[in-house]
Amino acid sequence: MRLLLLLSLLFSALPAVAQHRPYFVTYNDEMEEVGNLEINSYSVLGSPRSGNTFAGYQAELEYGATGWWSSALYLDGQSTANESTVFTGYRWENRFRLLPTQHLVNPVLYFEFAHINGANKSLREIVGHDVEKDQAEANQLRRPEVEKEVELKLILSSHAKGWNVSENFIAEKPLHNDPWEFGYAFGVSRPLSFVPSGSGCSFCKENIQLGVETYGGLGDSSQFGLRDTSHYLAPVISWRFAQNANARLSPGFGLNDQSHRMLLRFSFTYEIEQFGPKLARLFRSR
Amino acid sequence: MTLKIYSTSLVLAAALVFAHLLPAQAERKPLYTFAPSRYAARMNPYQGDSQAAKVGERIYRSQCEKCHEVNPSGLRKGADLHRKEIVQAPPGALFWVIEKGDFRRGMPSFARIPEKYRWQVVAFLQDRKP
Repeated sequence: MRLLLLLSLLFSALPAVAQHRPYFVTYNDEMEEVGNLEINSYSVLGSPRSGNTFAGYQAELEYGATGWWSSALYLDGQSTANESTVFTGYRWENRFRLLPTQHLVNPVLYFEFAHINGANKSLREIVGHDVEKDQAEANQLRRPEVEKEVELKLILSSHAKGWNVSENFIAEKPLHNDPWEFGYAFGVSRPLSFVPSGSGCSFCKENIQLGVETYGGLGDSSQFGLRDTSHYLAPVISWRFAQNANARLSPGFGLNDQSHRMLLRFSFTYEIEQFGPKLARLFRSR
Repeated sequence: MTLKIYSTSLVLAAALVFAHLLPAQAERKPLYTFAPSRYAARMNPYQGDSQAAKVGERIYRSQCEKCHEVNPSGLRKGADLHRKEIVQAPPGALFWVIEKGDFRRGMPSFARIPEKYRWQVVAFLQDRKP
């Protein structure tokens, strides 16, 4: 019975109208709306020159805890052609907005704890000396390497004349003795229109955002710099095809020999409005 | 180190639960009354422009209505914008609220929308009969 009530709660969601960030790697200052739950399915396809084609997956549940705090749980997995499909771990992400009102530059702090194994191919960020050949190694060799790591990001985001400009500085630390690894992401985007057409169409300009992002590694604390790092340039498109559902697509093109030639990312997002308060009411009424 | 991470995770998880147990904020002075005078003194370039107010209404319906109008459960999440004081408020002060927001009061910023359209929303709000 409770399961039925929960399901009805999921599908009785009110329409959500907020635009979501179109980027895959870069974060901006937009937080999940308080009480809303976002369900996101993310995939990345890659084909290393010296290895098998792979698909990395992530299932994400993101919740808006307060106006300044969003929290997300990720479950990661991957399939590699001619090898296997494996679960590769989980992550817990938290983002904290630092200033209560809008400013020229809006800082957000990001903290993530990840418990993943060496076969992880979700590539949600590129740090340190992450290069194409990492994804060419066989699953059975990489899977036994269990990694626990923390990741910190400083997210800076600005809005001007309808454009969003975001910069991320990334630092990642494996909890064993490996050094800090660094990376960056930079994105620019804009919706095609800000005025609703009023006809409720899916293909209207206001439902589409276009942008471009670039991201890559900056070495580690023992060898900081661009040597043995990979970098990408990726156009992004985001389409809100229903009032509470969104699809994103981004082909990312490698900028040097250490990078994949192309990484194709896509995701589908469904947002449940006021999930937390509805759930609380459900259990309060029991 | 791992223990510290798990402890931090536990604290964050507990905070996530308690964030919802905090009492609702009491009624306070309207947000627009805090607008700096340099903002409040600004005039709306679309004041009295009925075409601009119509565009403003479309933006209001898509971005603002869900919080500022009574929802099907009979509740209103944000402030009631039909009040007489909203029509009479300095347009620049309303513009300031839309641009800056304040998450402490549950108001998101709409700085992502270009200035022209924010003014048109203000024109719509002040064009309405209270």
